[in-house]
Formats: sequence, C-alpha cells, structure tokens
Amino acid sequence: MIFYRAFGSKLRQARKAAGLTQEVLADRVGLSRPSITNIERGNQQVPLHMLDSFASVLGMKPCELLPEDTRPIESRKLPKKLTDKLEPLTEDRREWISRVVASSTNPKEKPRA
Amino acid sequence: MNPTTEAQKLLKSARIDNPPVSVDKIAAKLKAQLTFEPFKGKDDISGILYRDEKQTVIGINSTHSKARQRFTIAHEIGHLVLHKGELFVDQAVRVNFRDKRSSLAEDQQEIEANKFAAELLMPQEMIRHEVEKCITKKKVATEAQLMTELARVFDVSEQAMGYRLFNLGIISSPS
Repeated sequence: MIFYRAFGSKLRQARKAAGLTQEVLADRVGLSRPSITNIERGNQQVPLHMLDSFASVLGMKPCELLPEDTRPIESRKLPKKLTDKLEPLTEDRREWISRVVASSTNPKEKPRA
Repeated sequence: MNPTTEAQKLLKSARIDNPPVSVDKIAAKLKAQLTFEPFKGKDDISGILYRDEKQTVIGINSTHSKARQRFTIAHEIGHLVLHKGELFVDQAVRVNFRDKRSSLAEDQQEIEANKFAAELLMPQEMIRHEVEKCITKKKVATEAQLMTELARVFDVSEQAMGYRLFNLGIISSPS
C-alpha cells in the first residue's frame, strides 16, 4: 500500500536524521531489525500505537512521522463536472488529469511553472 | 471560426511579431494556467484543456521535448479559443484511423486546433519573412537546412516545421 511505503520512507529519513542504525531503532522500540527494514520498505503494516514509540525514540511528535496525503487524487476535491468527464478514460489518464487539475486549483501543490 | 485568422488575431493583440512565439505570454493573456506534469503511465497523453467557471487549466506532459510541449500548449489554446466544452484530452500519437468512440465532429476539432497551433507558432507572415532572410543571407543551401534553421528560429520540432513549410508550398517534401 502506498500509505505504508510513504510512512516507511518518512521513518527511514527520520531515523537517519537522528543518526540511528536500524539495529538501534529496532532495539529501542522492541522490534527486530528485519521488521524495521520491512517497515521502511513499506512491506510491513505497522500498528498505529507504534507511532508513539517511534516518535519518542526519534525525538519527534507522532504527527511529524505521518506522510503527506497519500490518498489517490481522485478522492480529494475535484470539480464534480470533471469527475464525470473522466469516467470513460483509462486509469493512467484519469490519474494524470486529476493531478494536473488538483495542483492547478491548489497552487501549494504546484510542481513547477 | 477560422483557426488561422483566430491565431493571427491573437498574435496581433498580444503584439507578437517575432519568432519564437511565446506561448506562455499568450496563455497568460487568456488567463489560462499552465501546469506541467510528467505522464508516466501507458496510453500516452500530450496535454489537456480544462475549464470551468473559476479557472482555465492547460496541462502539459512534461516528459515530452520542449518543442513538443510548445506545440501542445498552442494546440490547447486552439481548443480554448475555437471550441466549447469543459475538457479536451489530447493523445500523443495522432492516429489516422478513428476509433469507435470518436466522432467526425471531434476529428474536425482536432484538425482545427492543429491548424490554429501551426499558425500560432509558425505564422505564415513570419515564416515567409524568415525564409527570405535565410535565402538572401545565403544561410541555407538545401531544403533540409532551411527546415533545420527555421525549426531553431521558431523553437518547434523539425517535423512540425517540415510539414508547415510543405503545406505553405515552400518546400517540395515534408522531410
């Protein structure tokens, strides 16, 4: 799942920033090193309460470990008119068009000019 | 509406009389937002035009070459100026045969948008002027060199310039 992959890369980033090895992090939160590897790769779905443990060890707030919105753009706010028009298109195209329109509506997400 | 005259009117009102034509400037004049996004999936796309009451968005596939992106923008501006409708999706490869879904009217709109884009990026008048310049300055010796040189001056692909020069009767074959 995209969510766990996004969470995993956030966790890896935070761990490295804190200067910890996978072994040390594993030890401090009470997991095995392979578990940490799998979590960081997004292959292991970590229980929600572990967020507290990770955050404590890494000296962060739990919410700081959460990834950005990983929901498919289509489930975010798009004009209704557009959603109808996208229906007959292929998934790749729907996704791309949604991304274009969503980032145009919300300039914060605009990738580049 | 005639695509060629509409493109000429737009160039005139944006006071553009020299190549390369700035499609960014024209889009801004029409209050269309340009959004560049890489399209990574299958079923390639070159660009879209989307508009509603609040906004006009031109989306461009940023994995394409710069010249190609410019043509896409010009093509979408064509839809914006010439056609009604909320969403236009333009695929990368123009197929010569029609699929089941496409209608004659849709094809007509694509042809018009392409004509518009050709005149917007490679206006007849500017082309003839530049051709004359190339010839009097003896800058080019062959049709192929002329095509290459003008593609550079107008910042379009050589392929697009080849077809343009061929369609204007300036060269004898498009490639």
